[in-house]
Amino acid sequence: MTVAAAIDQMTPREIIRRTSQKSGQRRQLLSNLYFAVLTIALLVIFIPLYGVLSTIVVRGYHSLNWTFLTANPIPPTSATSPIGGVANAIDGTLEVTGIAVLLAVPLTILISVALFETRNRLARIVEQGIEIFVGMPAITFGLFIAAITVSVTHKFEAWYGSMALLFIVVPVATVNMIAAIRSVPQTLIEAGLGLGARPSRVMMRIILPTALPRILTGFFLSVSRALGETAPVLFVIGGVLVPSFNPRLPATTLPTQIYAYFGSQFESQVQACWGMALLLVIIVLFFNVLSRIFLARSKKANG
Amino acid sequence: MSITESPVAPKSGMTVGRERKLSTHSDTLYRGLIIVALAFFVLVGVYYFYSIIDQSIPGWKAAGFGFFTGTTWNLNAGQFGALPLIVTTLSTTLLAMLFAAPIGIGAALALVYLVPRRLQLLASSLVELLAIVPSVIYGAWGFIVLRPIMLYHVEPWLQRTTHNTWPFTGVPSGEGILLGGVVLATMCVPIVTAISRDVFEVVPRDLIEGAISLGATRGQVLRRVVLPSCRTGVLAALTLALGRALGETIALTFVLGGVSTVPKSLFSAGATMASEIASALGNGGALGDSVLFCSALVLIVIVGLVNYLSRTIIRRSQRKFQ
Amino acid sequence: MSLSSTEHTEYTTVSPNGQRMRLDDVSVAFAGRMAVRNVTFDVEPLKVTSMIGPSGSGKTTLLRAMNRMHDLTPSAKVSGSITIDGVDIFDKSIRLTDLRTRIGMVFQRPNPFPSMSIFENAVAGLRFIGVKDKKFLAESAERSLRAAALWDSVKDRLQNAAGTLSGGEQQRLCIARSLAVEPEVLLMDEPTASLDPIATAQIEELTQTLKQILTIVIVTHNMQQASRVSDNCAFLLMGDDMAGELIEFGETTKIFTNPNDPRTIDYIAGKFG
Repeated sequence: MTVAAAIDQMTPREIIRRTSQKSGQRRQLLSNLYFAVLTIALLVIFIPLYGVLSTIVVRGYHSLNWTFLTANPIPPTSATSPIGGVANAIDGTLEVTGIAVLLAVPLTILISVALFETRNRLARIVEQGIEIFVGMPAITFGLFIAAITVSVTHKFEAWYGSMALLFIVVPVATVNMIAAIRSVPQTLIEAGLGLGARPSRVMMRIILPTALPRILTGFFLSVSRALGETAPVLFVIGGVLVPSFNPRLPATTLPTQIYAYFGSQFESQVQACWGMALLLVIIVLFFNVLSRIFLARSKKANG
Repeated sequence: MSITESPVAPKSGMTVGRERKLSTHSDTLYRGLIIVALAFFVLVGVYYFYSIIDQSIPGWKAAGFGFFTGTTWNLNAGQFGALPLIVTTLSTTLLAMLFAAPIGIGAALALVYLVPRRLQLLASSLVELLAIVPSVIYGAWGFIVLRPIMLYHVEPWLQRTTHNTWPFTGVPSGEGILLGGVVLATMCVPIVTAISRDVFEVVPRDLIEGAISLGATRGQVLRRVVLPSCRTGVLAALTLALGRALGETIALTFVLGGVSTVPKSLFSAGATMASEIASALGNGGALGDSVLFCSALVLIVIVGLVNYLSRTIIRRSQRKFQ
Repeated sequence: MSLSSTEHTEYTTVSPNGQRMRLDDVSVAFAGRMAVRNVTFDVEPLKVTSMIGPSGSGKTTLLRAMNRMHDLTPSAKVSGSITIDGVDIFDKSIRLTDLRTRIGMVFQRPNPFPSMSIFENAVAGLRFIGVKDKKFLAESAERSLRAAALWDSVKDRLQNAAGTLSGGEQQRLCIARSLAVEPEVLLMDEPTASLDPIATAQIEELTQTLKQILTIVIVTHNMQQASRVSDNCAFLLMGDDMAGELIEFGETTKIFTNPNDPRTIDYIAGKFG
């Protein structure tokens, strides 16, 4: 009897058992291979992670000292002349990002609450608009702000940069905040309304406090992103060598300073880039860790 | 939720939330504020698009359709052929996604289904660390650390092993499209991984056990059950990364070299639509600036189109499968 | 929907092959903590064996030991012996993927694969083991869907997504999916827990047909269900140290009418649980 004829006479169950046994070893091998590939993919990620972080730390850590943080930059004249510090960029970063956050908080709350409360066409358009803005290239926000400020006033001012950063901060924070307030249990809201509280009071006293940890998560996330942005502020804040402490004057931020110094012919300025990079990563990391703490807290609160 | 909260990822909470609002009676001030907020946002959004279009008009008049077909880009000389920028943008993005999609998705699968529980938080925190490094730092790192590696090792090796066939032709210079693609990929991978991981994490254990109980191997579970049931979420992750790659600016100004003609190989220097805006704004006079607004507008349209397509696909498949 | 006799006969053109399973001194521990202790009983071939008991008594844990589902949990440890047709399922020579095609499983909540069509769900197990023959797949799909009493209602929409089916239909699709790989034993873990009474009745009816071709073990916390569908019944209870123990095993009628152990009497009478 041929094999084919033998198979013809087998019941489906026999065929299935036979197929399963025959393919078993190969399938196991393929599965292991698949997992090996996944492992490699994960390990590959750690190469640039290690590369970037070690480069910043190794090249940057000896720059980080008191003078670096507090002194103003000195334009170098030779490869060995002192370059001072980056107090100007630290001040600029605080000013530009700080004002952006101060403006972003009320705006984000307003828009998120508005989207939570409205279900009409307008709200749908706005919600989709925000999602579109999350994905828009940051450089286009810089161009837009430049077109309506610098092109008109012919001056660079720190707060123009804040305006541009709003386009980074508000959409990300809003997407997070809407998700946060929509996750507040309906029963809580109904309890508030049932007690005769006005909608605005329910929002202020019940929904926002309940969703607060997740709202903060969104804010800190967006701030940590805004801190590192170069493109949106590049065209509108100009540059300074001394801290101005005045948002109506030009400013320099850590990213724009790195961008400006990196092409320098003076090695000392390129060196300073790594110091600023390390400083920047530390600041960004700080806000990111904050956001994670609040995220963990909100997860705990929600069980 | 993660560092790169996806705006397009399907969230069940969202749809439930749509049905929910506080009662609408009384509370005039509150209602008023809500309307003002929405209207304000629409105004800002419209103003943004209007400004970009308005500023680009002189540029369109000067460049015409040659913006898309012209092969010479020189703002100072009044040559506004943006094809070199477009080709560089698309090729670096394509390259970045070729690296980032498999690595990002693979790593996310590994994070969820392979890394032991107690190491998972550590491993995903490390991946997210990669996502928070500012783009200017990636540019600096790419130029200082990666460029020499590309120049002295990777590019000569590629040429040798391929016997100098396209796209590995030309003189290795370290910087250029290949380096740009690699740097972009590095920036996109954590986006893809973070969002995909969130998606994989919520795959019901039931589904996995269902497949296991039918005699599937662990690899088959991932390939035939987990991945297909996550395709909309993964697509959302890829879309966000793709948008980021198309619009990435600062890092690429460090590693692409510079531009005048259409790149001929992976080793050619170039500039993307976004990076050229950063490097050239203010250098080409009022007309040059306006042409850069044209570039921004095209970029916005491309990114918008990508988002729209991905949303349509996601919506369609949700309609089919839910 | 009722099961027409034709559906039944068509499936049984395949020779019945329900196997006996034997549990001998089986214990399951998670991270060193005992969840089920020293359970011994026989699962008779071509019969329905039910496991009842209050929650925490380890019914599901025990059921999942029977197709080595605990292999997925690194901290789980199963001791004692479980055999199918006299062969130890923990034997090194047994390949897990083969074992699971011989011992199928149906879960508490219907879990069809959402990305697959009804047809693809039905033949998913066959695809996993590498069956490629289109005709064979189509025949198997029909045979198993008929056996699960689903064929008539889905035969015109086999390409629809599985999510378009009702809960009861989804659960029957999951049963069909298990049947397609022609198992000898079917483990059912509270298969009607999430279903409405009508769908529940259909599944219960189905067990009575299916036991003519395979062996069924069903976990349920619904005592009426156990008495309706099962031939033999195992009653488990949580011991003092939170580990489940087998209190009594026997014919269902005996357990429900004349149990030996006073704790069984109390449970059946609804004094706790």
